[in-house]
Amino acid sequence: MVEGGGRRVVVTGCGMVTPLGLGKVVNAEGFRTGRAAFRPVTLFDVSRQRAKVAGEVDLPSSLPVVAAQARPLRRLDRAGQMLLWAVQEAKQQSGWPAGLGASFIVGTTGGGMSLGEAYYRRAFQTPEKRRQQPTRAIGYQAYRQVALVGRACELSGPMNVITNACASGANAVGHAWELVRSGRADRALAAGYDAVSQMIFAGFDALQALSPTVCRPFDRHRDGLALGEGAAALSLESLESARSRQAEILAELVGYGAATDRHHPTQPQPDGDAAVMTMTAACRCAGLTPADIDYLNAHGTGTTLNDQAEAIAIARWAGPRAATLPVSSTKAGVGHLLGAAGAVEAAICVLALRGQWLPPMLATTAVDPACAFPLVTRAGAARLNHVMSNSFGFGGANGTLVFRKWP
Amino acid sequence: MAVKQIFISGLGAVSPAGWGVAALCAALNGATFPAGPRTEFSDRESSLRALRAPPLASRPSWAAHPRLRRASAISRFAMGASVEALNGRETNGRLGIVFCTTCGGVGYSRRFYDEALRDPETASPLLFPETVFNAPAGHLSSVLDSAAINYTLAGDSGVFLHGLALAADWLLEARVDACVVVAAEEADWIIADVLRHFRKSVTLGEGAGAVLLTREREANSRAVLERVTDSELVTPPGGKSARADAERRVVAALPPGPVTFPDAARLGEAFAAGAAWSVVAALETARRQRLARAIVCVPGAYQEAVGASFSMLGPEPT
Repeated sequence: MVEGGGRRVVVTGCGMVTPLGLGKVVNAEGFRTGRAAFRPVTLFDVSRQRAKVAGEVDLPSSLPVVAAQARPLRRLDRAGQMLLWAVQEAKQQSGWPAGLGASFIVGTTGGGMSLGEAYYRRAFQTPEKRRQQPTRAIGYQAYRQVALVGRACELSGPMNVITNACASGANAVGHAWELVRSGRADRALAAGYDAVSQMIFAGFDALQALSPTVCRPFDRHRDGLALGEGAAALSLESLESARSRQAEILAELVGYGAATDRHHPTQPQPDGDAAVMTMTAACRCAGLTPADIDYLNAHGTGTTLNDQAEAIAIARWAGPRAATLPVSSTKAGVGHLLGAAGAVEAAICVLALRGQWLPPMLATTAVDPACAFPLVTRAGAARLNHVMSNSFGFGGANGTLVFRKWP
Repeated sequence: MAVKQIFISGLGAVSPAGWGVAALCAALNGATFPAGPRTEFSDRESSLRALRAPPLASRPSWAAHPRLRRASAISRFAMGASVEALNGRETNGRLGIVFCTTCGGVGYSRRFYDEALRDPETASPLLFPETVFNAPAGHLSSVLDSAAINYTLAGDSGVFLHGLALAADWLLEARVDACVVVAAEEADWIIADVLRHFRKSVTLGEGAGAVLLTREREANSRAVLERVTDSELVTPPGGKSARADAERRVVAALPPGPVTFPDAARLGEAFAAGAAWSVVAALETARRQRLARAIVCVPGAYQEAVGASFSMLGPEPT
């Protein structure tokens, strides 16, 4: 990473869809108060799964008003629709005029997984019935969904789909930041999205990673994660570009670190080596030390192994600062949003900086002794200048972002 | 001194023609395949076929790594091509990895989803981790022992060329010293089933292609990455004439010279891996024929066309 150089990159638009609701206003209030939004799964049968709940999004029956024709957009599945809502909100807030080129960088793990599942069921059970199968096959592809949404929202620049498992959203934001910072793009819209799907739910359940009770990150009695769904988008642009348009600046993105944990496909290295690397790299390129960070939005899935390794990594990275560094995981409220998680949590950081509050996790009551830092378990105001967000994924993908309050 | 050039310093391939760049190029130049790479999926209709990569003749040392014990075919293909491209080069923990794919680990995904549909209570936890798009990338970092940045890109066939551009950015910014860009696909009846909806006459293929990019000119450096074009979107996606239009626009944006296209007729439609094969083959041909440039255009399966050009290096000055 080029340290200390490059253009300043600011956030001028933010859009969110989570189980807490549609839009950043309702989400800011939900995350500020620590509201939890889990319910029994309605999207498919979970009667033979260990876990029965997830954070599901209630989507409106109509799509947002966008530039493109409505017909192709109707082919988007739930995941694609969530992406469309989030991107449209971010783009609208940023006020980017039509035709202004912007890169579109999106993270996801499943793309249009529900369409892929439907394709498989039809191909396996009734292979002679081919109607709609080509539409499902194309619609399943994340790149196709991203292209549709990008076109609908008049994002005319290059597109990339990053599929780094649960770090995808953070990597998308980080990559977009690098594009703008280096001058390869003046503007980039970064997003993450994923919907709860039967296959992924069954997968996490098979790994016994889902909580059969309540998701309680960093609690000594934690017993797993809860899955959720959603999308978030951030409009990133150079400070010069934002100023020239007299755009409202929501926050500045000042640091990004990425590294790979080589330990195991689904488990973190117990001492959190790669997490230490990403937190250190993100701080270094922001020109900050742990003492400058006022809040850490942890990956904090609620699984025994992740939270243990992340707690150790935070203590190693923060040193003496750990004793006073507020930490929470917003997965306590909406669940693990997989490819959307990093982008949603980045958006939460922006909202927290704007509102000067700490997102609490109310279900965590018995703090794991491995936590050498104070956990945010009650809603409250705070003075925040710099906040950090961690995202770690299967395959060892790790990413950390650092945001600064504006002005 | 700022780095201005990105060198192509290694190539690797796994294809229905065999393991290695030599087998790939021989097949593309008209040699016949070794016997038996064509597969019919016995549990499905006989109309579904694929050209499969043959099994390895002998077990290389990397295949014994614990991470690869249960790894999917796509991971093994990616590994084989990457190891060939690295050609014994030390990674020093600063090797970036860009893994590119269109279909991903579809074999384990289909098997796991099938088990989940039958009875989720008994669906195998061993299969699920391999269903994740970036599973091969994680294996590569682990086996090649690099904690450096590692991305998986999903997209239409031209995603491999986007991967080259991404790796070049990382190298220019000194985030890594070298970067393997690898694209891989594995054959499964479900993808063959998809393919027949769109291109009935084309057979599915599988394998991987890899390119090693470096910041410094090395003994194995054979070319410089000149440019990767912008994407030309196929609108409407999948449309035959729209695809041809996008291809024409890409070719017009490339320097003049013979253009290499993916050859699905010979090796099967292998999406991103097919794009990687065309880059590997173009670079090999340009080296053998002492051409000034290698030029590649990837029209893509359904979404976009993209191209790239490479300037061939002469002998290293002594």
